[in-house]
Amino acid sequence: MTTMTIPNTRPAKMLPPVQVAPAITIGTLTRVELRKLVNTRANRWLIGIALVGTGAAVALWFTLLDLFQGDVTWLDPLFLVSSPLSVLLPVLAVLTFTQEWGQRTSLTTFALEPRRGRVIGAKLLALGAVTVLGAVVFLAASTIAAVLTGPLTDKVVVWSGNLVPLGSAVILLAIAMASGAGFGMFVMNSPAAIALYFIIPVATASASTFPGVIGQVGQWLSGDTWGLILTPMTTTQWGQAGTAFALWVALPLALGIWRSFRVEAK
Amino acid sequence: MITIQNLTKRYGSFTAVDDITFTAPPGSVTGFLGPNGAGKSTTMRIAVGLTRPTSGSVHVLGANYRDLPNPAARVGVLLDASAQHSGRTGREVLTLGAMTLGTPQNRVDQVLEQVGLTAREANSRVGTYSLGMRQRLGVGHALLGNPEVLILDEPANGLDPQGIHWMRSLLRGFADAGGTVLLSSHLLHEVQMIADRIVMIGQGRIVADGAIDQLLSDGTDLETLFLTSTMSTSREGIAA
Repeated sequence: MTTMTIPNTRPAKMLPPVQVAPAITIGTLTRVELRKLVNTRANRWLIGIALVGTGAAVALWFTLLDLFQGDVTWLDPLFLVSSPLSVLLPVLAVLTFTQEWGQRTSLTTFALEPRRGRVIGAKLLALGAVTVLGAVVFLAASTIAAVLTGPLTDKVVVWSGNLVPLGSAVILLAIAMASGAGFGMFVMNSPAAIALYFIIPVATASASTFPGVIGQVGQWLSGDTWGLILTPMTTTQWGQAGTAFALWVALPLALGIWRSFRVEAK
Repeated sequence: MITIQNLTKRYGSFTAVDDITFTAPPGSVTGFLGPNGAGKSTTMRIAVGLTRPTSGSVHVLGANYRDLPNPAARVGVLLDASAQHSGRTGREVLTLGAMTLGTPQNRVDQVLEQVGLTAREANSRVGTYSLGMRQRLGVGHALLGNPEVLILDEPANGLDPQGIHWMRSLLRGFADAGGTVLLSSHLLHEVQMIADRIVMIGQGRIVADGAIDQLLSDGTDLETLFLTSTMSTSREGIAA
């Protein structure tokens, strides 16, 4: 990018300029995108429901405790308490892109920063920050559930150093966020993108349970293997994780970014 | 200053903007007029980098809009006041703009006061706004960076008489202080009152371009000039 010296042509009689930044940094763009994730009614409801759901999941944990024989490790509640956020945060990822096109705020966003790559990068960075925050909430919720298990029940809680469940949960969340972002960028329509985002995993997971060819193909299309990533996996399983990733994350992101650059903001 | 040089935009076989050239000089209000579908909005979108031209160029302050490091600090844009998230408050919309621009936070309050939105209105969601309130918010957003150029697509649309009067003084004052205004409008009597120059476009081509005094020197009014110049290119003209 050439650095042009834009001549200062400001007429003397005009009101003195308001103090502005000389250039827009990616840090500024990311802060703005983070703010946009929480400053609409729809997004606030989404986050609120996810947090309330997490609290409900912690409560639900205690009713399911009887299913656990023997000791309980502190990350055992994770599979349950991470579910609400894991399901709803990727919807935020979809919305951050689809809202710009559906609500037509693209006109404002790209008038403020005409270089779309920077805006897209900032949105992805903001979603990355949300993923980290999500991981923190997972950990906190699981810890709270584990801490309360001892006093409230007759179970023994083991504070093991095995962080694999947490790592898996974070990886799955990150993949889901990236996938949501890709669908949002490519489909550009909120209801359609959200619907596709939910239907495809269900469809491929159930296809993989069919006998015969459909089942075989389904196993390569389904993201079920992503949950095994931090555990020992066979080459086949890695291959299946790879194709599912390419199809439901890399491809939507690539197509979505391409489309975001091309489409007119009207 | 806005300079448009041999600008063309084609969508497949349809030519929306056909080799147009004109200048909106500083210190003046340039009225950009034409029937619906003539190419005004397309031209303005190209001017602010939202649409890529097929050929030709638009330079704002001597540069491509995309090359300005913080464009809203120098060019205020209002293309469509209803293009805002209905779940966001007016204050939030302006705050996002102020954050991107890097202005101090009190700038939002200053602008709200300048455009006549009360604190209660500012804290309501845009979805509850009337058309006039959206326009005021849009104009406010354009003014956030205290720019030297304003590019406005039908800014007085939906404003009540007080609002139209306010817009007139605002734009006139802005131009008199040396700023550049490129303004598209269908309110021809309004435009006749504030514009210094007129550019008329029909079916993608310039049909009139000059100082308003010269164009109307033979005593016609703007409406008559508009209707006769664009007759063959408007819907009514084509059907007739």
